Order: sequence, then structure tokens, then C-alpha cells
Amino acid sequence: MERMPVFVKIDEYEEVLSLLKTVRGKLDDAKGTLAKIHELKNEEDHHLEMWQNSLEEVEKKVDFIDHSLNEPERYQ
Amino acid sequence: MGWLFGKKKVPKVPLPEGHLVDDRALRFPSSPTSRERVIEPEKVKEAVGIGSKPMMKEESIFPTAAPAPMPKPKMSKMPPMPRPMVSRRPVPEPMMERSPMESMSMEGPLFVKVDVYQRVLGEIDQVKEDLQQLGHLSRELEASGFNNEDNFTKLKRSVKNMHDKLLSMDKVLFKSQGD
Repeated sequence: MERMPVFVKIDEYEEVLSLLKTVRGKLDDAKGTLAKIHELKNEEDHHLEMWQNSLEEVEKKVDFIDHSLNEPERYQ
Repeated sequence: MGWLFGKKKVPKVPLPEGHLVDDRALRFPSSPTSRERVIEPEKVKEAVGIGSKPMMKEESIFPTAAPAPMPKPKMSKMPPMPRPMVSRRPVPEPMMERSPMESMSMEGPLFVKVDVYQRVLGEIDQVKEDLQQLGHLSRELEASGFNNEDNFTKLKRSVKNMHDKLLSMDKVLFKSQGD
């Protein structure tokens, strides 16, 4: 016996299509927001790197002061 | 000669008799047929996909070698010819490719095969699970953001403390130099 295809009737599929369109719009919004967050995170990373560099500089200077005060003869 | 002037033979099969036909049967129907039943040629073209994209010449299908440059014709000294009048007809814009959803009419119920319907339901379930996972991730991110803020406050505090100590150290060193 040949198998006949069985169909499901969807009455208000215009509403489903409209909802799908809305969901697609929200998805685009979410993508845009995520891209912005990525951008902000990159900026943050850059600032953190600058922080790290500055702290390393400060550490070097503090080391120099410390050594120059503790062992003055080495830095004459 | 009997065969020439003999009796006429009567056909054994009776001839069909004519019958009256109603005149209305030969007329075209006065009321127009319903639009749903008439399949316009444009719709057929849309369904088949003809005309949705303007086809270019053979170059879109077969790659062709670049045409050899034509030798420039020698310009003879002729009086300039008047330009032919060209009627400016509006150039038809190429038709945009329509998605299958747009080309479908939006009226009436939709019939979907059972296996497709089941697959759609499965996909919806998957999307729900993904959204739940995204919510969980966003909560984690909020928590980590709070931690970041906390750490940043600590960092600022320690830098300020360091600055104060350096200032007091500077003060002590300069004071001893001034004495």
C-alpha cells in the first residue's frame, strides 16, 4: 500500500510569520548589542593593558628609590 | 444495362436524427470565473522562477575570454553627423529576488507535512533551551561584572594609598634636604 503524506493544518500562520519576523528583528538587535559589548570589552582590555604598563613603570621607579635609599653606594 | 437504372438501395442503418440544442449552451458564461481558479501567467513565472532575476547574456553562465581590442577606425575628416534622436524610455529596473515567503499568498490556512511540523517543533524546543542557556550565561556575566567592579574599586583604593605614601615619602625626603 502506498504511503500517503499527512499534513498538519495551521490556521493562523500569518500570526506565526509576524512573530517570526519580530523574533528576527530581536535577533538582529541582540547581534548589534553583542558587537557593541565586544567593542567596549576591547576598549577595556586596552585600558587594562595601559594600567598594567603604568604599574610596571611605577614598580621600576619604586625599586630604584628603594635600592638607592638602601644601598646608596651602588647608585653613586 | 440493368445496373444503371436499377432500384435504389435503401441503407440498412438508420440515419441519426437531429435534436434541438439550447442556445445558452453555446454562449460564454456571463459571470467571470473566480480569480482563485485562474492561474495568471505571471504567477506561473514566479513559481517557476522565470523573471525573478534578470538573466544576463551568456557571460553570466559561460566564462568568456576578454574580447580582443578592436582596431580604432581611422577618423576621416567628415562633418559631424547630427545625433540621432533617441527616445528616452524608462529603463525597467531589475526585479528583486523575492523570498518564497513573500511570494506566497498570506490568506487561508497552511498545510505542513507532519515530518516538517515535527521538525519545526523540535527546533522551537532547541531555541527555548538555547535561550535558557543564554539567560544563565547572562546571570554569570552579571556576577562577573560585579566582581570586576569590586576588583576595580580595590585597585583604585590601593593606587590611592600608594600615591599618599609616595607623597608623604616625598615630603620626608624634601624636608631632610631642606634641613
